[in-house]
Amino acid sequence: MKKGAAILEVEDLVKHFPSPAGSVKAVDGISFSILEGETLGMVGESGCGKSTTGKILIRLEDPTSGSAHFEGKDIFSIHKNDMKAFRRKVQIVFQDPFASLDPRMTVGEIIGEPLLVHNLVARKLMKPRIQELLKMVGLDATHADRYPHEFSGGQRQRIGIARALAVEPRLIICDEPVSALDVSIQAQIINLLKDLQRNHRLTYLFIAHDLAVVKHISDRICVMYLGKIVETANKRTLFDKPLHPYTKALLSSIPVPNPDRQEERILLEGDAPSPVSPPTGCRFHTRCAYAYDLCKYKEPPMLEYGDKHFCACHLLN
Amino acid sequence: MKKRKTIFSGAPRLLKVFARHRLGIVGLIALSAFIVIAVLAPVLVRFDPYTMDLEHAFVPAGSGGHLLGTDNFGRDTFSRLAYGARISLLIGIVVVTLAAVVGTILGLLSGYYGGWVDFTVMRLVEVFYSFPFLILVIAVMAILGPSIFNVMWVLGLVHWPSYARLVRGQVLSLRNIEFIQAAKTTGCSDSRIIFRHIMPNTITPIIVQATLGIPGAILSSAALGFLGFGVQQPTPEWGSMVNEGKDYILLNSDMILWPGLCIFLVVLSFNFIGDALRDTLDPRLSKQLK
Repeated sequence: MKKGAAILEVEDLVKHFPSPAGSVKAVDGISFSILEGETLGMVGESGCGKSTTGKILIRLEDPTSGSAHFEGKDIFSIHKNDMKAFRRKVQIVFQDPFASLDPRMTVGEIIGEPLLVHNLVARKLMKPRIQELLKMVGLDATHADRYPHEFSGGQRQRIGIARALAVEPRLIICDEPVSALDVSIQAQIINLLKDLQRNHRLTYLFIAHDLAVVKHISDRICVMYLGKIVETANKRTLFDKPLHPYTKALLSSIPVPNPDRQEERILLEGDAPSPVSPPTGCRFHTRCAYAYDLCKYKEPPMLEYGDKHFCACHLLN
Repeated sequence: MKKRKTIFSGAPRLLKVFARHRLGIVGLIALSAFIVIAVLAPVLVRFDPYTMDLEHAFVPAGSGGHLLGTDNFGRDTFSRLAYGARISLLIGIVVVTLAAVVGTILGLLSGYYGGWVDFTVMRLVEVFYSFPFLILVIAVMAILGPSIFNVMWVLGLVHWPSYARLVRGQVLSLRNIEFIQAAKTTGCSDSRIIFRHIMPNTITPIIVQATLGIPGAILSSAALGFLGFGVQQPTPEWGSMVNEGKDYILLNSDMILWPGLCIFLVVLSFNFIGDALRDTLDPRLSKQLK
């Protein structure tokens, strides 16, 4: 698909959560943009701030500082009255398909709610539209009268996707939409998302915690570590020529279905440091096999290495 | 899609589910019987509930046309229970409805909005909890005078905090669940989120609390009656009948037995109904009740 101009531009986004132990630096100054029609994959370990980023961009959380422009408009200064218009354009698919659907509502009511709230279709056309949405995500039209608990995880995730699609959004934030699903179902959901993207000209911010999942759907990928983006590149570039040691470690953790392949796995030692008091300098230096003195006190700048390939690492200079 | 968008949409289905709950049906039948007796009291009873007949005091059940005997003043026990059912059931239902509605709304607002709303409501709850309720009630009754109407609203006032706390706790645990966040990102208004998404998911404990609260309210009004601040003598009311019977418990235990039994049966019926309603209103449980 032809990629358009930037639909979302995020500039120096920061989110610190207050906690008794000190402020948790969940997101600590990240900048990126998403082009219209593309999928930006966002990967990182649990707690690196990727989900928080998604929640901020959909305005479920308020940022500590920074800016984000969607279609040129600052999304953090949207007036209460204009919020509904924003909600029509940006949607989210949640991680946990068991928690993201109201257990007291039928599937039809769940998918119909956005139509009702935004007054999108006449009452008479509600039912056909809901059935259409169900079919769009590969469910049966008769499922509308059932309750969420009657469905499997994958089916529930499809319902969540149908709900997001109901308003015909431009951008969908997929917050680890397949992490809670069986591997065999993951592929189905990813393929569904890809098909929908093609048919409805959607843009995705696809958040996941492993590269294998984002590989199939992303055009570009950014890798997060402890509240910072460490590397951004086109998918192909990132997989073929990763620059950051953390990206390399993540890539080596992807299982390869080839028993003869003998490649050394880069194993990261220990857990990620606490985001309450992240390491000085390069945040990754405590676990990096190549770290040297400079890494301990100077934060590496984000620099471009070749075609839109950005990386923040001292080793490259 | 159901046309009406309330938790009662699909009422026929709910009735079917409820019908599968045997104890719930038993409770419903028992309670209906009491309600029928209460409503038809003037037709059903042979004796006026206020007429004293000291010559026939403490008549045993069944003799002289007195179905359940007579009390210390020779008044027909069945008549007094039938008329008492009107007052006791009314007090129980009105008090709990009042308390549940006020408590639920304040609990929803407090839990959902947090901040100063939460602070104000919760301090108010604490004031009500720490204040000895009898003193409050006696003070109000002393100023406004004892009457059934005053008993009802004062008891409602006393009981709302427990609903507010219960609901607030539920809201806090629901507030960050993804389907509430999803409602927000869908663009639902606050009132829609509160009443369409949060309230239906808190209704179960409210119903349980309310069914347990009705007998509590009946007993509270009885205690007030005993102290002379509730329903006034000679108006028949189950709670005060128990209190009257207490003085004769060794001499004639029937007098305390019958109103006590009535309270017991009504309490039990409400509990059975509450159980059945809880299961019925939860789609996850109602499916298993086949």
